[in-house]
Amino acid sequence: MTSMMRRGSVVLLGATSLLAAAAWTAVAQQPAATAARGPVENDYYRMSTVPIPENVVLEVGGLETLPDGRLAVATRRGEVWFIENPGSLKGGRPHFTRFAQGLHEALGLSYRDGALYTAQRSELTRLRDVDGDGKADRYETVYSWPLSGNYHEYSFGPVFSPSGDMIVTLNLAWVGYGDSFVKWRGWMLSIAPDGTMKPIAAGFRSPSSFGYNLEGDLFYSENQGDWVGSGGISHVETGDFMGNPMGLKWSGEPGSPVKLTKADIPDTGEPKFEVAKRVPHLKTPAVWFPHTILGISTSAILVDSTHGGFGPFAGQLFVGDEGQSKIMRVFLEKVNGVYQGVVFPFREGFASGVFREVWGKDGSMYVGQTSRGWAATGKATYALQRLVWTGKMPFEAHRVEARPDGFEITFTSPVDRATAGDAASYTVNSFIYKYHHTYGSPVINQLAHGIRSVIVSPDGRSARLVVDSLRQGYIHEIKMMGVRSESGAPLLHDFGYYTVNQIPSGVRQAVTNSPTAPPRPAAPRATAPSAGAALAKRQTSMPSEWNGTVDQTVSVQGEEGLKFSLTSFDVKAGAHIRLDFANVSDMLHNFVVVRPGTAAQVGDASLKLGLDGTRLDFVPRTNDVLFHTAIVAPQQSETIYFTAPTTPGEYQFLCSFPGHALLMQGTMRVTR
Amino acid sequence: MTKRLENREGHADLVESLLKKAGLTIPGRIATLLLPIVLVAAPGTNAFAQPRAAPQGEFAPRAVSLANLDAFRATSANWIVAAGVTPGRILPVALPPLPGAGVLMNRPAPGATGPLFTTWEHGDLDLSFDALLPKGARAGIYLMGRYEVRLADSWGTRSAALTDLGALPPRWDVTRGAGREAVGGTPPRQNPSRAPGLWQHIDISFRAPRFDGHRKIANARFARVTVNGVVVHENVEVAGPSRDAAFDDERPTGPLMFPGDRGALGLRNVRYKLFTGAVVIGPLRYRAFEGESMDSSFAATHAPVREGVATAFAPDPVGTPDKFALSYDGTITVPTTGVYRFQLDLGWIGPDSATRGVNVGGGRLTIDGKPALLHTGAERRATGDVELKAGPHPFVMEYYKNRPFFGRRDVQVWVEGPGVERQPLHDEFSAAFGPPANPIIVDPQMEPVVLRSFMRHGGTKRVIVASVADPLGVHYSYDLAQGALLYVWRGPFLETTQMWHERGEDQLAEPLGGAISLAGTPALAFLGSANAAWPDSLDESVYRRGGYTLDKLGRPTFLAQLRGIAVEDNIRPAADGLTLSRELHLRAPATSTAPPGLFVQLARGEHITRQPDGSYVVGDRSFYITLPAGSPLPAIRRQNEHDELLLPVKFARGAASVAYTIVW
Repeated sequence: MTSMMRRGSVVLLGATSLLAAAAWTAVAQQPAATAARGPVENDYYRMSTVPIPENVVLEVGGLETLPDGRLAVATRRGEVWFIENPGSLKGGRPHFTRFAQGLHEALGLSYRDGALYTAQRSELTRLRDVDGDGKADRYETVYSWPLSGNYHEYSFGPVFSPSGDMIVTLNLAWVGYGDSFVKWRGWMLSIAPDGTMKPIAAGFRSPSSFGYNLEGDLFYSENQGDWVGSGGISHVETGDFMGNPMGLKWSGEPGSPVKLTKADIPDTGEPKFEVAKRVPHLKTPAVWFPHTILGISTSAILVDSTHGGFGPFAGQLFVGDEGQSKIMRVFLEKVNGVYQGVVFPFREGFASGVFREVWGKDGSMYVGQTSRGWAATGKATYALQRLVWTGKMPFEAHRVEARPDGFEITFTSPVDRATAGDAASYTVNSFIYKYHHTYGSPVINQLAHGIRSVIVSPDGRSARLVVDSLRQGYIHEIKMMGVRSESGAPLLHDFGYYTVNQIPSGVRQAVTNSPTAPPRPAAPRATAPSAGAALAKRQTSMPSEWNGTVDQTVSVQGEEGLKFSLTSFDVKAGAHIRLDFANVSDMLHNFVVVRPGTAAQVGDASLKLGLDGTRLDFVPRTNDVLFHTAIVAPQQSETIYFTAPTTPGEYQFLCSFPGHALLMQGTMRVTR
Repeated sequence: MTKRLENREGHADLVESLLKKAGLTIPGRIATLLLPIVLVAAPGTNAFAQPRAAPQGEFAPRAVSLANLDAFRATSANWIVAAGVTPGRILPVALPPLPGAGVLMNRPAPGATGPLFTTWEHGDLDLSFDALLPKGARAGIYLMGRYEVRLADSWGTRSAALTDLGALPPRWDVTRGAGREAVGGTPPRQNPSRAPGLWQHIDISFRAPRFDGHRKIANARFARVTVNGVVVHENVEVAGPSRDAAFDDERPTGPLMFPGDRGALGLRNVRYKLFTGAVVIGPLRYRAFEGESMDSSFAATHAPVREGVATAFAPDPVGTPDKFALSYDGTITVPTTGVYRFQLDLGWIGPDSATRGVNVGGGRLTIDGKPALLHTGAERRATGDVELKAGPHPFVMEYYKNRPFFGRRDVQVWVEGPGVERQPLHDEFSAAFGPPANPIIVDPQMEPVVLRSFMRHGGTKRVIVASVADPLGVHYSYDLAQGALLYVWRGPFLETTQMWHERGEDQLAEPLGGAISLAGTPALAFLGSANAAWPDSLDESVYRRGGYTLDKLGRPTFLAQLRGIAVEDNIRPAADGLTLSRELHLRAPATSTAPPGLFVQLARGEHITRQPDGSYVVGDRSFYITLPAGSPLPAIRRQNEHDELLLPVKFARGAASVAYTIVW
């Protein structure tokens, strides 16, 4: 801890800006400063950017720390760079050397016994520098697999297993939906150093990242999409079927440990855990990451193996997100032999799309980023950044563990007993997603749980929540907005999502007091305000008083790359408009018309909708929103009808799906 | 994604026609699916950067008869016609003719070095021909007898200059005084030259100077010059006649001229089109329609929402990208009596049954009240031929879109006719569909680069391809899974825009030089019998790739296992920096005897002929194969209408080697 504090000071002294001075003040007068503005992530985890030479396009596909402390970076343009002194320690600066080049979209990098291993599109490649000149002179094909030629057939890895084999995953192709045109697309493979291959598990869609926890169990992160209602991480064991059935066409191949066929997989839209009761080996996520709240494109998995060097979260997982340029934190536990756990926000504000994470020799986390082709909240096309713990203890929920009748929340430092013991300081909601071929899912079966009791431990480090009826298979949103630390500070992040795959047996708390809040059904779907004969904001049928005619039809597409097909269109004031919105991209979009000058604030408001987002189609309830479609899935469309405003002006339209509004905006000119 | 697919599909036909036009010039297949590149027309991209019409029937260029010299005015006896030539690959000047016709030759001799003129004159002109340039040749062709495009043996020149093949030499102005005559000049963008003795293909699109009375108001202009399929000039003006021009002045027309005093030259397949006028439309009135259920009777079922005047066909008058129709009427004036071909491209017509047909779109052109073109939505493009007398004609152009959820509404209208270059009648800005991607070029100068990508070859997408750049400027593409050479070329290396722009949905790299397309078949195969077909590909269970090693200079040796035989494939620029030499080293497993029936295919082509100097010329004199001294003689065998050049692999003490050189 002391050394980490000193490192924090070095950073401050090394900088010369006003910002540094302010930060120094913040360290010196922490309670006052915290009280004044509340804790922010940067107080605890500093982000610094590794300068990249102008002529290096460091779109990070793979990231590894070499035994000598250099970083090795594989890029999407197929280069491998070595970076000496990546942390610019002692006033130096990073030095870049190209180790290899010409690989076909290298999306992983691992070092073992003097060689680097990377997955190219069509093979697992070993890179060696035999003559010692610092450049690879052996590009050896360890194992190869076929390609159909579809761009979406990415290959990821490898990650070394505890037994020394190499794990790779193979993305599905994308042709308006995910498909597996050639062998082992949608699978995880294990490849021995001698090139023999064993398929491990099937049902992957876009498995960009995977890694081991400290117990040596393998987890992979999945992206929302077809058959995937939301992102999350799953425990992978040999013979598992992870959920997307397109790769099952290869389950009859020799060596397949998976025996399911596509016909075995029902497409009913039931929750995945329900289907898994009937379909053996169908694996549900260990931890769901609610879509748009904790990411939209789950990526890197890195276990905290720093033994406290990176702060209080030893053994937990740091899971990145490409689209939202942030990192989540996961605590896992095993209940009845099944992994489950909780995900919290951890650090946001990265420069580009977070794709890879690795520990540096200096104890900091290096975060490799790329957003080309998949726009991210961080606008840079690529970046390499570093997270450094300042040595200060954030006030956080350290972990949540399931109990037979609720949850036990452990905090990083003692709580204020009054607020932490007050049931009104918490809410618990449960929900789940549909399991179906459709891209993504709404939030379904939402239920608010009453909190019957809260018991704060004698040391003030944990709170036992006794809630009404945990729901097996469901995601439980736990909000802790009222909890304060001993010094009166709020939590740095006051919510998390716990996936209850199993409910532990054991002793229930004797609860004498009555529920603080009765169980209540989730709020019904918002109905459109009905002001006389006014149309709904989302009017999907032609109003009868239009007598079957529209004055003007507008058609707009949501396209790849977060774009609308139109940047502007004209309508006549008061005209009857039919608007056809088609989503031809592979993301979710809606189409929202708002008052002049309000697109940015409506876009911001949608970011704060949280769990209600999917229910509301990510349309904030504000008077600024005039008309809107529902969230439209890829390759789907919706038609709405509205009467153009009678006041001419430059109205705006946007996609209010979280994170899209910045790029997906346009102008609806209302003319006389 | 949809947009990209539409883009690609929309131009496939154009590219196809270009390929036909290009004939044997080769790198085009690569370009077929590289649409953004086709649209961009970035400097340095290939010959197919700009769509042009497929000339057919009476719209095809006119071939100059080379049965005799009737089309020419020869000024001395050095100009002859022959059936062909047997050029020396190495010796200068030697072009012994084969008696017959079809090839125009210059065989200068003492006292016979006069130039050759066409009997006809030209102004605006599209011209194409094949040229055979012996070693050291430095010929030329003078447009209008004045403006030279240099024809020269530039094989081996790294940095093409004003004296090289495809150069536009300086204007020659004697009034500036001795030693100062040369002004300007434009070297070719790159040097796509072939080796001496191979046919080289030249396309020239030339626009004559313009005059107002005797006053010149516009310079002569080379709209495009391509050499072996590579664009070397676009829209380059020349301010006056070149050195050794036949005329000092500038005029609206003149004959083609080939100088006779610059050494031997062979020409064939000389084709041209003369352009003497343009089609003019106007005044143009439009009526715009919007609404549901658009079909060919839209004018009867819908009322126009807007009316006005326009200068060209454009989607601008409609306020929706979706369901609309436009009806234009006005006057079209043609310069010459004859058959005119109109072409209507509707950007929203797709490739499959759901995205094409009369339910999706259509249109028609009516001239003088009679149908001239009918577009039924069956394909994106419809054409119609109509005979028109010189002068003005009333016309109506109508088209409709009935396709929802699809942003494209672009329309292209083209016309060509007697003496009329294919010209757009649409607004080219309105027809542009999206901004082009910034090109991404890989052209290493300092060290070899081995770059993996997908690549088009012979109509298929190869997915396990490495392209290798060498600082000597000699490059190749190689299918790692087959041990097959796909392309060899000199000049700039690769364009990777399709791989590295956005998601890189095609993942295709494209050679930037004048690439020779090789067979792409496995180099090694076991043949059960002398007549067994050479395999198109080898299964991974037969031929397993092992990656590559790099030597001290960074040049790769590809590794593979062929039924237990270790294969090392070394492809290296030869010392001359011009050619590629390949050495295959094979090592049989120690425990087994060398297997019989293993062959190396050195080349495959339409025809393979052994040359007097011991080399082999492949295809239509497309490239040479040479073997090192002492090499066993390969066999030429005919299979599936191709000649194959095969060498049996002979193991000695478990090892075997085969070496050959590709010269182009």
